[in-house]
Amino acid sequence: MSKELLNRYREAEIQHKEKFGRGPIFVGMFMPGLDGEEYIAEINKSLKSGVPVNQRKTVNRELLHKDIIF
Amino acid sequence: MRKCIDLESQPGFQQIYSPELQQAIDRGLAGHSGTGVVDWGYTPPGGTKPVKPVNPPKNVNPPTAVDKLPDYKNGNHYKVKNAVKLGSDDYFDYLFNMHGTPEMRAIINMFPPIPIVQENRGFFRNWEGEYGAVHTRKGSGHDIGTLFHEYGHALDHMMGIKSGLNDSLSTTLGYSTLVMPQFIEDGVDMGLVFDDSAYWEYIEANGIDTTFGGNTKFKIAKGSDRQHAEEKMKPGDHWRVMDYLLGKVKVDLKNANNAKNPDPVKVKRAEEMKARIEKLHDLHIKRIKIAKDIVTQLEDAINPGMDSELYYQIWSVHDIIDGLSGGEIFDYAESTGESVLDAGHPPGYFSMRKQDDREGPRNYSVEGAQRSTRVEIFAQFYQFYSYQDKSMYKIMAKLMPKSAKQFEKIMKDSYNIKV
Repeated sequence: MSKELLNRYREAEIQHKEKFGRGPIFVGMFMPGLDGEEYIAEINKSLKSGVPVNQRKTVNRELLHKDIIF
Repeated sequence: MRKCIDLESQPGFQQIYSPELQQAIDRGLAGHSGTGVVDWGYTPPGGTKPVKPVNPPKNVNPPTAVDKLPDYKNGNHYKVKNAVKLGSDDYFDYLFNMHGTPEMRAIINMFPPIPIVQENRGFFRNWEGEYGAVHTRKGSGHDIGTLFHEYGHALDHMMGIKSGLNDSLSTTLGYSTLVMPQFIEDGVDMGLVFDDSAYWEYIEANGIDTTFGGNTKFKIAKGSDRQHAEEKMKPGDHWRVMDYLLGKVKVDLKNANNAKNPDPVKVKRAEEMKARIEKLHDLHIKRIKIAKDIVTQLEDAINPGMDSELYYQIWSVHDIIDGLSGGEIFDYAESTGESVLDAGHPPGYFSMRKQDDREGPRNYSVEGAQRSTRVEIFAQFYQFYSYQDKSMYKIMAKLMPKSAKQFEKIMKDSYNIKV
């Protein structure tokens, strides 16, 4: 399941790069093989809305503090 | 007549940057006063202790959720040796009691319990409560690994406080400083850490002015030290500059030789720099191959099948490689489109480079960047050391023998910390 999810994430990531010229931006430890469903859902939403994924803009800003350790 | 509008769907709302407003909204919706009633207010960092978690779980049914949690409510797991009972959700006690070793539980029990808060991602916040708080997942399919990793951060901080290391070094999560030299030594032995001074010396002496073959200008002013150079780099730029320098030093040497009256000193310098940059480029390429080899060997050795927890362990090693490389392997992947690692931390976490196209760096000093490397590798070692199944720890002990030896020593030494 995890490898399959990783591959599906990679495909979604490529689509995101093709559309926006850069990869999606996520906050926290990056494990697309495990958290990929969440990432893919965000990418799909961004492809529809035309706004690239940038969790840095949508998460609680406190999570961006340099002393938050992931 | 009062008209109600949905702020979030208003044009431009998502682009508003206001940490104070965001925190006020989050805390207000969470009923921050503890009354359960929506209330409002902004507390500056370092202010009052929150009564409830600042970030309530937003996603109680994450897509990777397990179908059913184990039966942890019957309390049978408390019958194990050195059982932990931390006072947070019993589920987290269950994970320690059923999947951790008695030795690791003994260490946890030596120190005051650290609050554990259910969250839709794992993180540690050191200023929450007296000793910080762990935020971790429940029902995700990789709850054990996430909890062990985040609690590793918490113990790093707690042991740093109780041993006096945090104070004496003016840092947080200071216990891991005791094993940082070994992390770097092993990183050098593995070929993941190497001397890249030629890269920074060249930039400081000459600056960078290029378009990388495209239309967008990329400039770093002559005289920029490493920190000032890195803060100009967005994801992918570190490798783009490496590639650019490989060609540039050849041109520099050619120009030095083709001058009307070649200056032997300038020619000699250009030759030396060319040799150093070419060697550095080779080390980068070699490191990519080393990382790929480790990735392949890990999967062969662990054979995770469909087990998310085993994948979490494997991808935690990817994170160690990411940390030791200062995020440069992901930077290479961003620039070339060639995937190497399947997991790690976001851009800029282990370096002084930008975190995305627009946002500035997370770290403004080498020490800050290295702190991220130190605390993350420590937490991964703690995670592996905590499992009853030592398969991954044994692999790490082979990959990073000096680190494993020192890590085991400082874990044993922790019994002598006065609490």
